[in-house]
Amino acid sequence: MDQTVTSRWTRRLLLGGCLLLLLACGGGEPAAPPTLQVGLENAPKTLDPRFATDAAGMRITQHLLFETLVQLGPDLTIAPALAERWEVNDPTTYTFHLMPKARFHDDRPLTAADVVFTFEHLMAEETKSPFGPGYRNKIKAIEAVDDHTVRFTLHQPTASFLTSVIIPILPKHVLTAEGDFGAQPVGSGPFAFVSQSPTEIVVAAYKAYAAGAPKVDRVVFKVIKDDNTRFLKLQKGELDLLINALPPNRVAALREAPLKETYAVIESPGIAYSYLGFNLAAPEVQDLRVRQAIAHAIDVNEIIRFRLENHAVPATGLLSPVNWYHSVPGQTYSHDPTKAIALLEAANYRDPDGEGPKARIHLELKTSNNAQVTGIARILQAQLAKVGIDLKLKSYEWGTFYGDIKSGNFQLTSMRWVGVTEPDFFYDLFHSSQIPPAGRNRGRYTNPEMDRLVTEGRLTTDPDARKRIYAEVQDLVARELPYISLWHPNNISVVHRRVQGYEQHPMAGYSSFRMVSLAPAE
Amino acid sequence: MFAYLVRRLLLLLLVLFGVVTLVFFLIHLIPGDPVDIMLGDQALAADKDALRHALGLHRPLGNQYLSYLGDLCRGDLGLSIHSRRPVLTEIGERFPATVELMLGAMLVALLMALPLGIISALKPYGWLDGASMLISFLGISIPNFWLGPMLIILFSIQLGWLPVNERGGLEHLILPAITLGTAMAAMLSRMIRASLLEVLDEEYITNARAKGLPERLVIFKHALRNALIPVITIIGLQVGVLLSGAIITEAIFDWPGLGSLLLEGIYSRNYPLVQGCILVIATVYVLVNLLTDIAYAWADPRVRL
Repeated sequence: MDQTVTSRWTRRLLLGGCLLLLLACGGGEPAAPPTLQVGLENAPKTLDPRFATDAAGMRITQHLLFETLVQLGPDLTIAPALAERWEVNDPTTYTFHLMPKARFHDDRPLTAADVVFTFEHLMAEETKSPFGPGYRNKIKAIEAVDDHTVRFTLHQPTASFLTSVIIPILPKHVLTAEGDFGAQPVGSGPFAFVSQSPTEIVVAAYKAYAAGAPKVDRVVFKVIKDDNTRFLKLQKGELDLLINALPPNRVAALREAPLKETYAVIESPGIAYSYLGFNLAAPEVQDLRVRQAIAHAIDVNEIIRFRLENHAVPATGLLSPVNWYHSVPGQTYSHDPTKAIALLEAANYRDPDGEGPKARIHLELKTSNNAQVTGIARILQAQLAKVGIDLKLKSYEWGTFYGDIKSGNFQLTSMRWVGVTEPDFFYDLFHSSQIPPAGRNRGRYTNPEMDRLVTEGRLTTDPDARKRIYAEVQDLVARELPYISLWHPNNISVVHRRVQGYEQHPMAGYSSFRMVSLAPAE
Repeated sequence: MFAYLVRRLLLLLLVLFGVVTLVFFLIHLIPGDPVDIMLGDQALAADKDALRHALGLHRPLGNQYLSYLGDLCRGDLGLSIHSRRPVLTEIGERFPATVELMLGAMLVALLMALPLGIISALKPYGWLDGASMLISFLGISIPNFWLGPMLIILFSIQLGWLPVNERGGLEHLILPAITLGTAMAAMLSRMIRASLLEVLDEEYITNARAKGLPERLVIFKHALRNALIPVITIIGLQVGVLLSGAIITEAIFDWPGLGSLLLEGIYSRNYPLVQGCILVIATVYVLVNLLTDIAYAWADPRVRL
């Protein structure tokens, strides 16, 4: 009797399940217009270019929604953008000539008045833009000479000025009116804002774009935070493009069948820079010989080969070989444990028990809790143990970690600089005036020679003379080791085979999206 | 009944006050500075100070706490630090997604637990019972972060039936709901089995059988109805587990719910947002428990409130 009860119920349940599945699978999707689907690791914090400081937010605003006066070309040199050309009238005066046909997405023309407004608005205290202080320090005055000509006057010669004006030009008529600009940004770039949700950003081609309308109708950014889910989404063929958004060990799978039939992997040298930083206020690492010993004890090639699966190249300094200002310093540190031990001996860190477990010196490495970073920290720990350095690892959630690094509550840290093209960045990193909270000299490095060089570098406008100055700076950093250079991770784009015309920029940006087209599905 | 409700509601206020206080001080104790995270590396100290003043973060903690409590009494949860929008609006946008996922998970749990529990209670210690026991063990031991990707691989990649992630139509809900609901299903099925076995031993069941009722009626009308009473309590308690378990599931499936909002808030030290999210979760939890108790009284007239 009860047998029939159960079987009847089983049948009903099965039927219900099938119905659910039918419901789920029904409803064919209408033919979508050509849409480029791009995966993102994190949602941009804001699409208001006045406040966007994260990578995704800056790329979407600078490369797609808005236009900048100039841009960084594929070789990282300054190239024309909204400004067709410019003149350096004297070392403190720059004149930009705007493209006459530029228009905002609401069809109002973009004129010199908008450019003047943009910089004055960003510089205004009450705007509270994080970019304000930088511009206030550089720009003395800005004026519209005529509708399509803008002149900047600087406080003093500033070599990095052209790089620093890469910021979206804002529509004066929209920002002076009421409304939430961040929720509905109006730009003049090749794509116009459509919508933003926590998991999706949609932009549509701006058909009237002066330099030629984009070839795809839409770009949809899908925010997929989980590494696994992002990879599974690729496996299903639902993404057209992922830029630097896969862990290195996943890339190999994309180079094999069946995924290689669907996706191409584009890999080229990047400009990001991984390093080991010292807090020179910590007594344990003040001795240069200790820092040198660590540099010799680390086997960068081993980490690149086995942990990064060869998706990086060894670094000799902050600037990658792609950068025109890159130079190989006079002193480099090969993997040499014997030399490391000799240096520790010389610094009076003797081995307490020969082959025994006791260490010569105890140090502490603080990192974020990112799995990639902590994995590498464990390798560093093992490598340093071989020369008698006991490295204690501490990893924290980003907010806590970052707070500690800035307040100088660390001995060693392993971090990464992303997107550095302008050598003036050395000023922020190593000038003695730039110790936090003023700047980013978190290792509390002070050296009058460094101060002199980085100050000279920012005042010198002749590129060749600058290059010589920064060669000296790169030499000095390698010699004094406030940072130990580790590697430059490669840029890796995973591109669906239906995507044509995508070009990987050294900055891993979106500038080539305008030229991208999609092959029709077969 | 009325006096009971008033007493419970007063108690509820007390609990929420405790939650607010605890969360307020805990989140402020964690190192890290929302202004730092918000303005990024390039900002100058002066600008950070200015922003800190604008946000009222420079005031003593006790002072901030009192004004937060004051605003709260007026129903004002404050402004989200980053977007400058009311916290209540941000939560309101995400809440429906979380409720949808929770109801979905609950439905999955019941759909799995009821047949499993009933079948194993009707034939205890048989092979069906053993199989259902195994399924329950698996369900309760498999972590969400493993089950989710596995389900995606099977149903989205291999079979191609369901989408990988994101919120959307019903087809988008199935995998996250299974991921979140399985553990609850496993526990519920064991509960139902135990409770049903106990009831089947009662004399009124023997009586019902003796008077010649069809077995179907005996089971579903007399036994199951009584067996489900303790299960209702468990379901109520599980709401809290579903709300907090949703954080992982939401992360796997990019579900734009309260869990992911809370996580984002914690990462960016968005104090008002974190406080708001936890307050809402706590409120829902306490309210659902109250409702459970009322439902309990309704299902079992012997229970007096």
